[in-house]
Amino acid sequence: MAAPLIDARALSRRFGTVMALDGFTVSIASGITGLVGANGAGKSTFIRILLGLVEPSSGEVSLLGQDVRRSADAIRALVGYMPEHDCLPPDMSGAEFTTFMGRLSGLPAHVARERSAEVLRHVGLFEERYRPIGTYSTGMAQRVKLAQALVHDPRVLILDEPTNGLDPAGREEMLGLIRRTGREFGLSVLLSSHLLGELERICDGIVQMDRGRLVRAESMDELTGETGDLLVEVDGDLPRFVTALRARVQGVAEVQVERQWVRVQMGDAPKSVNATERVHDAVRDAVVEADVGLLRMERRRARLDDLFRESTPATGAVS
Amino acid sequence: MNTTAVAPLAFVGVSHWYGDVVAVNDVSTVVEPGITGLLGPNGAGKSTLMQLAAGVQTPSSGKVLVFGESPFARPSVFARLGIVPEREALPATLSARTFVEARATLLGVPDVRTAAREVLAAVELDTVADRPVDGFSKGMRQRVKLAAAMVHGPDVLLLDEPFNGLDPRQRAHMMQLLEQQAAAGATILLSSHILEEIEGVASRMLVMVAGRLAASGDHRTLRRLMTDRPHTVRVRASDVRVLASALVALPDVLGVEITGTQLLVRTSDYAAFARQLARVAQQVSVSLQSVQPADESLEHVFRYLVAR
Amino acid sequence: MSSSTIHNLGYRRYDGVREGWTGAWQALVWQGFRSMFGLGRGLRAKAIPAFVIAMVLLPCLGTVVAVGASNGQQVIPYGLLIGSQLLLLALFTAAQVPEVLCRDRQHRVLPLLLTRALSPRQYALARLSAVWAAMWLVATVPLLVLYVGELAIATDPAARFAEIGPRLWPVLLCGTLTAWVIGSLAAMMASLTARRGYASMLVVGLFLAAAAVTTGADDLAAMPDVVREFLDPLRALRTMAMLLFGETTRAMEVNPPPPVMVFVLVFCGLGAVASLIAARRLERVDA
Repeated sequence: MAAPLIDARALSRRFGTVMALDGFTVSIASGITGLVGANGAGKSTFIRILLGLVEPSSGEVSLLGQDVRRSADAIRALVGYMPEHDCLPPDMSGAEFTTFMGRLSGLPAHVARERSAEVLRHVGLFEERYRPIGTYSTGMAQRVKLAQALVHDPRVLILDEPTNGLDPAGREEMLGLIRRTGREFGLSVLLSSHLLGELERICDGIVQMDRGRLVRAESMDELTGETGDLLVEVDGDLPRFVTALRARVQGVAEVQVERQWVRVQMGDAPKSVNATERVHDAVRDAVVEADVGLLRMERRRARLDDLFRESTPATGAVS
Repeated sequence: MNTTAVAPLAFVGVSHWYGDVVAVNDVSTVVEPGITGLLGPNGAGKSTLMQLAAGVQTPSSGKVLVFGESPFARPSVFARLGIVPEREALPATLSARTFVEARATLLGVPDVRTAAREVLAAVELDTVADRPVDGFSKGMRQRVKLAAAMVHGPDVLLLDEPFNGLDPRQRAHMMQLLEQQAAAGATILLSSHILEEIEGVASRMLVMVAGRLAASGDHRTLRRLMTDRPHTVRVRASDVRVLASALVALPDVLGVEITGTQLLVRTSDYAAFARQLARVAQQVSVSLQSVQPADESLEHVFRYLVAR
Repeated sequence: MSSSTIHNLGYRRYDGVREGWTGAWQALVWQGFRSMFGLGRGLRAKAIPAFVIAMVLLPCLGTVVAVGASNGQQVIPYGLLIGSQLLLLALFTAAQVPEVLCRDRQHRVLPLLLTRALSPRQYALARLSAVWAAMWLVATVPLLVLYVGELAIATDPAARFAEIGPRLWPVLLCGTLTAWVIGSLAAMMASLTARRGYASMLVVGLFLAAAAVTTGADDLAAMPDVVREFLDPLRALRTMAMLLFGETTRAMEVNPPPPVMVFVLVFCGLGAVASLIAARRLERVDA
């Protein structure tokens, strides 16, 4: 089994009377992992501890096998951080800033310059890089933030709400960049975000926190696996189709209509391949018989959204 | 359908510019009761449109009508509008209750205390209403702003990026609140960059690109209207090659791409294809395992509109 | 026939040398040093530094020329000239020290800096070092201009050198202590806030308040002389300079100041305390 990327054991941190982290224990594998949780769940505290900006009150955590407290310097060289807030000086150019950050990570001057140029190309900043950051759009600024996180060749990227403030196109591009970073560049990514749809698209696994504790840590496949239900959407005489379908699947499945969807429930018992195919063919044939258009037929997948809602009971005004 | 005269919110040939920059360019549309989403890339003019709707400015040309009257400098119209701007600095030392009550007083609400209490309860801030606002998290601040915007029971709510910084549960909660308002007859115009949020709650969309109104309506219908772009449908079947060769024979099928166990079909007439797919599969005795339109999501529709 | 290749322009790893904190330190100090002179930003940022440097250099150059023209009849009044520069130097720090110390906090760049090869303490020291280095240059170079100028205009440089050679030490001492005291005090005030505008006002405020208080204190006979001497750091620096170069003012003749050693010790201590306070504030990560 591969060594975990991040291994936290009973990690706790107290601020005054508040336990920001309360015996947080988790083992995060390499790859792209999403970190989700309500505001105040302890995500930022956990990130700050990993980065060495805050000391834990108790417990331990290691990153790539190195203890965060004892090997703080080694870890800094291994981690790239992209904060959520605005953190760029407006009067430096993107290229200058990225090079400067490279030097601050200990890269020799000419190496910092070269890597800065490379990394800016990878994140998609071209002539703009020579202009002051104050003149950048949000999209360009986010790219510089990502570039400075990559310039020193880290092994792990920690991204806090990386698509914040971006319009849909910018969001797409940033997500694509992050996916490339994880898959092509070979870095592991820890990504904190409120946008579950985005996480579903690029993460291999999710870590969910609430009130300083772990709620769950699972792979994406486990979380959004296919359920046993089939969802069908047709265009045309819906009642006629439903009747035809019911006739064909009687005894094998239940047919229910939800708004414009038809849900075919096959129950939780393990199904033989034949049974499943029978149902698929039933739908197909019912479509032909009822002379409707088959717009959609797919297995209903669990969505992160559902999970999130069910597991965090309303905490009302507190957060 | 309301005529422009009595629609909750109507834009008639509205243009607005700042010097050389045309922020809004000839926008005409009517916003009905219910939740309407306002989408567009950065700089498309959404915030300006919101400001014009709120009566903060009067348009350089054209008319903005709230229930038939211009909202600019008209207290009677203001009273029917509620606004949650994107950037609004909350005075740090005031308590939530004080802020909401102040807003209520300003808008001439008869029973300020009760109205404030009710609306704070609706946004679930009643237990912390007397704490100063600077101790609040982002999510709580958004809720304070929403409460202040709703305290006078407005008929029209204008919200600019209201879900910013909210975690999924808070977002879901706020959406519920908005849906309640909409069910009670309010007209809500909601701008956001996050399509997955808007998709869940808005029944109609207005898409702005470079100051112009690029499209309005339900996104699925919009997609079907885009006849110049072929639809892409993803099909999984028991024998993709056989099915593929049968589908290629259809007149509306422009192309079929085979990747592993999956077919990507490009068709010029989605509705016609939907009718023919099952029939063809039946004829060649192929079992269909899944059928999914590959580019019908709001994301795709938006991308096409913006790229045009 | 030559072969063709498509080169892989994908992301590359870096496995080479890493300089650890020394490289980071150098980069940070150099960047801070340049900021002190407004380098690396627009033209407007260079305005005040340029003005101050001109205003401290020109009188020195002018004096050298005038003395040269007088054929050795006139003496270069080092102490007086230093005294006239102190206010300008204070102005310089008020304008520039906030640029170096406040920007990181104001633009919230600090978390990015501290997650790299420098500890918070090293960061604080690097920023302060940039301030001290720049101040040393601005305080000492004009004096060196005087010194070298004096040698250059002399009819017999070698003889002149024998005469005033040892003056190099007071020159360096003055320049160093001036930079140390003014720089550290300015740093202490600027480290109080993240807003550059407020920081500038605080620095100016300190020096003005000190001057105002001393004027008032001059009338208080009950105040011990030593305290009165050091209440206004700028005035104390001037007094020390006068002492070092054998010049006096009427005030000094009326109230003889303590020996130079006392000044040196007090200034070292004052600067150290101010620097410590500044460093502690700059080390804070939670900003």
